[in-house]
Amino acid sequence: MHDDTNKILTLAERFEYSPFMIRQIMKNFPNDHIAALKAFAQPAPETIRVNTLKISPEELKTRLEEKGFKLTPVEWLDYAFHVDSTHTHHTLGATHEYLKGFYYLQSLGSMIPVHLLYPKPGDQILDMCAAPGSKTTQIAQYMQNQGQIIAIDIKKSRINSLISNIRRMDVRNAIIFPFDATQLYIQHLGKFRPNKILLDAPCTGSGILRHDPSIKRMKNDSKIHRLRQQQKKLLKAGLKLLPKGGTLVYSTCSFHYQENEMVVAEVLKEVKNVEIIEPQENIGLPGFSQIDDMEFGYNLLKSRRLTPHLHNCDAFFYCILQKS
Amino acid sequence: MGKGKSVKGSAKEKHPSYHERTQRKDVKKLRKKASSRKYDSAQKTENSIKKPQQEIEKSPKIRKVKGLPKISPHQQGKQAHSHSRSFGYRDPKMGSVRALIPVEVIPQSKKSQNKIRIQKAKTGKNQQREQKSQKLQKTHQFQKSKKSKSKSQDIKFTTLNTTNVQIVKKYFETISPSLFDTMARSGQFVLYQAEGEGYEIFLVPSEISPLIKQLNKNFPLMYAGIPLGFMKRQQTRTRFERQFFLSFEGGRFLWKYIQSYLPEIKNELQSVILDEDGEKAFFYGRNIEMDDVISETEKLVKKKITFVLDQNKEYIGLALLMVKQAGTEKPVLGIKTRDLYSRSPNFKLNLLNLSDGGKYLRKGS
Repeated sequence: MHDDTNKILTLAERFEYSPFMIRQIMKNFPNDHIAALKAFAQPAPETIRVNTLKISPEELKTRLEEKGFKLTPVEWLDYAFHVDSTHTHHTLGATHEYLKGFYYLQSLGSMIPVHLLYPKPGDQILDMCAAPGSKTTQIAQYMQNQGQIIAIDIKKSRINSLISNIRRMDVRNAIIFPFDATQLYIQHLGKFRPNKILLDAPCTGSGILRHDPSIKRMKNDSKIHRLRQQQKKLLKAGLKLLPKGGTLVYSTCSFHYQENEMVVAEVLKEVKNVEIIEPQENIGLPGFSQIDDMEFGYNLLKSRRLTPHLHNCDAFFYCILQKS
Repeated sequence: MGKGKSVKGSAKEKHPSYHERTQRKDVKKLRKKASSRKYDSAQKTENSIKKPQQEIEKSPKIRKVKGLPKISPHQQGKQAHSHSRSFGYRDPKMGSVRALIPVEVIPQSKKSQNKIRIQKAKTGKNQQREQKSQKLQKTHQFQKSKKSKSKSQDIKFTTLNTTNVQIVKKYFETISPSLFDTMARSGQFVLYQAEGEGYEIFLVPSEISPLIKQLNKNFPLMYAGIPLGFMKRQQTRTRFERQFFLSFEGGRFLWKYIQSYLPEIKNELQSVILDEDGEKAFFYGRNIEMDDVISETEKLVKKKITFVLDQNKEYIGLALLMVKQAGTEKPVLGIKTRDLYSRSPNFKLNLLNLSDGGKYLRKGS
């Protein structure tokens, strides 16, 4: 026990984390926490998603390479690239191609939930926490601007950034309004029966701490606890809205099991006729079935986790739920 | 004490800082004020209390007046003032009518008179305070009502009314005379207006339109379909008129739509292709000079909406062809037509930037 605390303190000092966060990383990356810490210390790779509504990936690649960027394809998606911009004076967020809406600056981890939702043209899709619109624009891309997307967010201030991105990316089938997703009832949605729901829940953002280093200094689990309650509410509301046969993808950019497996397990105890589905593609690592003397059930092995040291992206969690 | 003396004679004392000087001045002022107040108040009390008593003693006629109501000390000031002309007397020293003499004077002690004065002063101050507080309340109420109005003034998302449809139609006719009618006939889109802080016009695909009508009953819709443009009140020579302005996204949609679905209208559109420098300048929000235009400019018409394209013939924004004066030479007589006039060395063609893709960077998200 004494050794453990010593180890935590030395790691906290070495990597500039709070001891609480080191303890959390040791729990969530049980066999390779040092590798995870080292990966988190590296700068996050720049990744872009090509807006296939406007340009093909090949054409954009040639255009950006003419400007001095080096593009390498990513593992699971054929329309995304890792970008090396060390050999050019251009900035990736201010090129003419960016302003024309040809691509979106998005980390690989945040592209996966939409990919797992498998949107198709003509679908009715609900994005429960849509701002700032990275996933909504990706959904529209999959749907080829056909069908209906309802994108909502509780904060009106965040809606503006959502609208700005939707305008830039030339999305034409989205309806946007500020609303609390937990207060959403199927009666109010009229003819809209969302056969697919994306719930990219608000979280601590521990998975993207390379972009926001202040998360390293989190001192206790009060924020995690508060957000877990919110996540549970949202997930329950989402599952209520889902018709039979409909799918919901639950995702967070956090590695804390309290925000991921624990939330899903607790909600599934209360909501019946819902099962976890394994993704069609072999993406990431399986989720935890048990951790820290807690058992979530073997079903949660079907959920997926991305880690920075193994997948060269931010830490993410995904779980596909289907109503039977 | 020794320390104090040494400080007095120190450099600080000789050359005090600005802050210290101002502090000292303030202290002096305050002392002066306090002393003057004491003096004034003493004088006032003496004058106000002594004089009337002396005067009362000197004017026994007034005391004999009967049949008038008694006046309470609180009402003294007001009532006495109102009766001053009829029942007052002229003060030989002051040369004016003294008003503060009660009709039926009850001799009062100095203390009670002082009390009355204090009460009067208090009531005066209280009145002022009340007035101030009332004003504040009013302003608060006004602000509150404004806030509540702004809250209640949520965006109204409705189908475009007929007058606005006519305004949009007029605008479309400046791009191409048949554009609006052909789009209307296709039945692919429905025009909506979002009336909030601004007045935005949306072109909604007809598949989504019935859903919007349903959702509109329960939710505060902010955005749907394609943001075509916005309405704004513009001052004309005689009055204010509502006018339609095409947005960057609206222009992008129209350009694409006409290219792919209405090839017969293609030639009616006015467009220019810019070189690299022109494209950069345009994305920075600047106007463009004709030197940066690669495409033919001879057939361009003044004050017509112009679609601006880059070297890949991709839409990058909207502009308006304007003519600027650049010299004072008179045009040669005989060849003066409107078009030639604009191309004479006295005048310069200029593309006025209406909207460009750089706005996403400038405005932020």
